[in-house]
Amino acid sequence: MKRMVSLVLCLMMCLSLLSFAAAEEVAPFRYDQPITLKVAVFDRGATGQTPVDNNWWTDWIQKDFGDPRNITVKFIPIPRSEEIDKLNVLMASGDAADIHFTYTESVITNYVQQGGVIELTDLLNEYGKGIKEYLGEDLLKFGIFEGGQYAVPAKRVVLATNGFFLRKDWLDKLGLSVPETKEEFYNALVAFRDQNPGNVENLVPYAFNYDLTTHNHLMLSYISSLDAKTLATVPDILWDGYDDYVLFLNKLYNEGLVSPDFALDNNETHTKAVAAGQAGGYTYNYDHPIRVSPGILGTLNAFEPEADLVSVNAFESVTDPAKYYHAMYAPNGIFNFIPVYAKNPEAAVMYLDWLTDLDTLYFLQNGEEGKHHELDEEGVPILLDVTDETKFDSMQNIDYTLLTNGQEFSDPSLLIKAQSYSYQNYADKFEAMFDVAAIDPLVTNFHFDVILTADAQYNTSLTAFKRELLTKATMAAPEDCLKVFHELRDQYMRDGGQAVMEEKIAAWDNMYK
Amino acid sequence: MTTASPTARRRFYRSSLMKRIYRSRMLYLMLALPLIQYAVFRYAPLMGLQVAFKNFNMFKGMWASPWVGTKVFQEIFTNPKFWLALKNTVILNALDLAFGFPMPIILAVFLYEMRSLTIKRISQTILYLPHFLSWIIIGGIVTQIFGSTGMANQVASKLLGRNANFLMNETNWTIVYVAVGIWQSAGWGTIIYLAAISAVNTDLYEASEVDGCGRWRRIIHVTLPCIMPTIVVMLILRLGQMVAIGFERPYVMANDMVLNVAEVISTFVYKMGLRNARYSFATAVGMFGSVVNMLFLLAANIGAKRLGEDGLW
Repeated sequence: MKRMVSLVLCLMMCLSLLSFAAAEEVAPFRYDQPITLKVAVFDRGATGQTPVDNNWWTDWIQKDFGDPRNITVKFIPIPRSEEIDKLNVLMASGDAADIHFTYTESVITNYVQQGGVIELTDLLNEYGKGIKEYLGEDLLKFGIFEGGQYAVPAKRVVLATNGFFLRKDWLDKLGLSVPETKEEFYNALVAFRDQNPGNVENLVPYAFNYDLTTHNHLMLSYISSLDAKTLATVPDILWDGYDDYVLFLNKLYNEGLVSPDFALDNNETHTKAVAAGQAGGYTYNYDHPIRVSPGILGTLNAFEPEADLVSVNAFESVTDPAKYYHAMYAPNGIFNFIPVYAKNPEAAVMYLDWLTDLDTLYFLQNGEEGKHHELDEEGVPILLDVTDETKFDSMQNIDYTLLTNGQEFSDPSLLIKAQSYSYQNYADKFEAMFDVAAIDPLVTNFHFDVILTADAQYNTSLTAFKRELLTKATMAAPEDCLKVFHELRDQYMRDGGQAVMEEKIAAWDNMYK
Repeated sequence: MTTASPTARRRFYRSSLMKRIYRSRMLYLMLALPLIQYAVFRYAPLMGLQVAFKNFNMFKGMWASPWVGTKVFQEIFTNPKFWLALKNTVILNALDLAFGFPMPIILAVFLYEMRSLTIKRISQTILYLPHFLSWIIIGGIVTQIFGSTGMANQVASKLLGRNANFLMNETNWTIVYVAVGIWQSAGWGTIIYLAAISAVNTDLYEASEVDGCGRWRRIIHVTLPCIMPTIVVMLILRLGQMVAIGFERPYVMANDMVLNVAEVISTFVYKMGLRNARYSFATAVGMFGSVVNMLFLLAANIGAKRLGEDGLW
């Protein structure tokens, strides 16, 4: 016993002194018999991608993680667009991988409820020291359901959600400044419609697609009930002021300021209208226009070098005109979990643990120096444009770094700079977009520590129905708009919304009593 | 097999069943193949129907999940979305039946009457083509043509003076849905009727000509009555599908604005079952649909017999 204690103390000293070097010196656990670890991976079906389950990166993972531990890492592709369908089928048929993940909490609660997920407390204590250190208790608790650690959430580095973008060059041409209020925003769209500054055919002042729920900052600006309990428990369509938001969307549609066929577009055709220079603006992830893929601004600039998209901060809150609330993600990202079918759950935890190692992360996110990146004078990696088989299939290899959502640095101050480099030609535009998205942050999604039965049952259908009702209210004749909205809202509450709300209120009261 | 003498035949029928089977073992072996296929792929899956009466737990599996009686069905029958899906399925199928069913018959008769063999072949090929397109592609074409910037809407808006809104208005969408269905399947459907027409005894045609029938009369009095049994069988089979509806066509063509008329049983089962992972619910809906289908089939068969046709059995 004494020897154990001294050994542990000794090890701890080594660790604290040598930090990373120590990790390499301690030989990792090794299986006597070779085992196979199956890890799910998103297949985004991007043009020109390498096979997600067998490429340069998976080879490296096998070499660096698998070989020393006598583990064969096998990747199971999950089509990104039908992630939940595929996951449900794999889980129900017993063909699940050892590590799965989803962003949708209700899907996990459904599995936990049916006893399909392994509780991880003991495994994390034994094999997941790195995970616990990397995530910390605050983040790990997002993975707690009914008192059990059933999931390991990823750490979300950047919490910004969406951005509203307008064509800066069109505004300039019309002599308008970048809108700073809702009214100016509306007027800019009207000016786009009436004066067609780009002189384009099939002009769309502002591009919408079928999912209107993405316009979260605009919606929040109309809401007057912003206390945490309401945000957490009541469906947004019932919030005070939501009516005005719906009326605004309806006005935009009926005055011809948005894509006329948006309800038919479940394929992001609206971003193509932006890239083709036909649209005056659109809403998407806060950095979407300047992303290398799909390269909206890049495509646009190929034909119109002067074209520019700017992120607007124009939605003043009804509660306080000086506030511009921006919805934020909760600090957790995707939820990883280990299905009960896993033969070696400890290997799965070891794998996740290995993914939290900063060296592993650095390599997966930045690749090899000289090949994938160069270092600037501060030592911040500048990503190079790699097009051969060693290229990144997802930004920062997010589909392999399961516990990290966003670029990770030991020194957080390097983050903005390093992030901006990944936009290549548009590096200088990143910071402005990032800053707008971070103004007056407001967290709108919350974690409950109990299983929400009704939510698990209704979440998917209610989410789809909310999209439907918003679309219908937006496309209604102006005088019918609120009537349509209220009728459908009542139906939403009848078809499960009420049950979910009551359950959440009870859970909330229980959590904060 | 050699021809059996009367005594041998008598001996055959007097011998025990096993012996008889043994003697015709080759025939039974041949019969076994389709029987096994039916047992494995048609009857064994029926055991899955128990999921409709259980609270299915996907990790315990079908057998270990607890029984809940008819609770799932009670939930279905109180779910307004289910009744909507059922109603839409029947309406869309009825429209398909009313407008889509006669189409291949008319086409087949016209094709048969064509004089030029070349034109007949060419038009047949063109008519078959849409059948081979995937619904995903057809869906894309439909959006291209009927969307607000599409060709059809350009023309319609010139005539009407306003946006015709083909795809986002419930009535218009239904018309487009039925029309696209006819376009896709009518050509292919002619095959069976063309086969039936070519089996018609040519003596009848000659006789009708002698009797002074024109083309039109020949169609009415010879062709159509001769293929009537085929038509009736096809109709009965079709009626047996009243509550069954393909998944791709409504799923691909639907959008949020028309879900009130476009949500059908198959898409509802998909959304509840696969998306929401509510397998018991989805199974029960599917089972209910099958039962209703069977009732339709029986009723149609009885109706056909009353009208003096042969029916299915």
